[in-house]
Amino acid sequence: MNPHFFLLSSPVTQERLTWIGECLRYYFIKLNPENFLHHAKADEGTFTFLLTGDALYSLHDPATVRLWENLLALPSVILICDRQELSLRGISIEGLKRKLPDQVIDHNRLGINGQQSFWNDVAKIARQHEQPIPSIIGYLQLDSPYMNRSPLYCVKCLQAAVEVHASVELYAYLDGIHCGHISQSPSDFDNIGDRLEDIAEKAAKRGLQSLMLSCSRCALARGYSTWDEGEGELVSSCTIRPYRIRNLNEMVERFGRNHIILAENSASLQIKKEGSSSSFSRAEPGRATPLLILVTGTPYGSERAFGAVSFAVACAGQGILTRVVFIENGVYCLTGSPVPAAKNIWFFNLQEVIDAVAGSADLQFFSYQPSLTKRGMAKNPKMNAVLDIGTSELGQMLFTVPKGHLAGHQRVLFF
Amino acid sequence: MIRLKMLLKKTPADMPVAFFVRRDQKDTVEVPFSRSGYEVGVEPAGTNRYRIVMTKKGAGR
Repeated sequence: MNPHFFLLSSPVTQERLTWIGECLRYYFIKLNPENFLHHAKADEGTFTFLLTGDALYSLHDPATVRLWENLLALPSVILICDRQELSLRGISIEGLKRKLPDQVIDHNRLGINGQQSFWNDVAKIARQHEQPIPSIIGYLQLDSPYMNRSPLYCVKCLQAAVEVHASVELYAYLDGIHCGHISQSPSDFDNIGDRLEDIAEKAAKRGLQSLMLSCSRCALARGYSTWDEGEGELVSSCTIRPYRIRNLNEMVERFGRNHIILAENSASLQIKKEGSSSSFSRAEPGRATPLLILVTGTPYGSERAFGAVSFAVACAGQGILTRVVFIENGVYCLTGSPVPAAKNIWFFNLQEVIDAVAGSADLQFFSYQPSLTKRGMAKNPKMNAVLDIGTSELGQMLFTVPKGHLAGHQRVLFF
Repeated sequence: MIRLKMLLKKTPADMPVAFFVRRDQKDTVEVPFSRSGYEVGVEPAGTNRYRIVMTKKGAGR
């Protein structure tokens, strides 16, 4: 069992590594001081960082390498790198490996097909968590294929999940819905649509479930849906066969369950609870897996920040404890006093949105002060629904949940 | 959902809000808002079309 892991695929900045490092220090010093003095047993207290894609450049840049070394100096921290993606980028981690041979790993696990893949390591870790049988591994996909490499990671992950005999669930949200468009025919890349269909087929052959849900709001916006009056369901003539366009609530209902859900940048952090188990039915109040959403991008350049808040509202509506932290460039969502949107209701001022949804049960908003300070900015004082937090509070939020919540782990999703 | 929450936020508490929705939208409005302080009236208004009237509970008393 790997109690805590981070999967990082996007560029990892100094700022991100700094707050992650500070939160881990909080974990070891404040929450688990015994582990700070003595390395944890193999099956507890271990932090695994799974690095692929552009996140690997952080192992090349001297400024971030130094921060990685600090992180790896903490007890029981392991770094598993995607060998293929390292080679593709021509990044060498030999220096780091020489210093920390037991903690920096780039020999990836062999799959059933006899080939090494980083995603076999990911699937093994995600599959190892205690969960109801049959095991499920989910993946939230936010980006479209070909312009972005993350859909390839998504299909590789789901493929590896089927190989470790886990049922798979894809949640396509925002531009992620494009992964399921029919008739994709890339000349220079893996065909994402075909690979998703293969995954559904292989899962069925092995007696596993595969569920591929895409958000109806996102699908409607992108021209995928036609309305079927008779069935009362959104249907589309331009998606691959396994795809299902459904209301966001139907997707979010899956998030109330306790399986591991990965994303391009995500984490799963164990919450230690005495006398409770993480194998439970979602139906009992307080047992839905809590969600921490980190809004890391600017508010208006893309749909991500709005999508994060919308997703958070839907999760809270399903009774999932959902905490949203504006951090890194996400703090720009809270700064300044944007001009009200006048009569154009189609233009969302994100501060108005936050103000409108704040106060909902199970939904809390926070701003990470060090990110504001770093940018020389202050939160709009009118945003009193958003509470200021520092490193200690963020650390506490990552590794604990309020009393009454009995879930065994917390999901962290970066938007 | 978000647009509706924004609309409700701007609407005086004693003023009902009425609108038409599809069936899938009705499901996301009726139960969640009934649980969070609103009287929610739902009337069928055609195939896959419903008229919703929402009033803040206790408004005008």
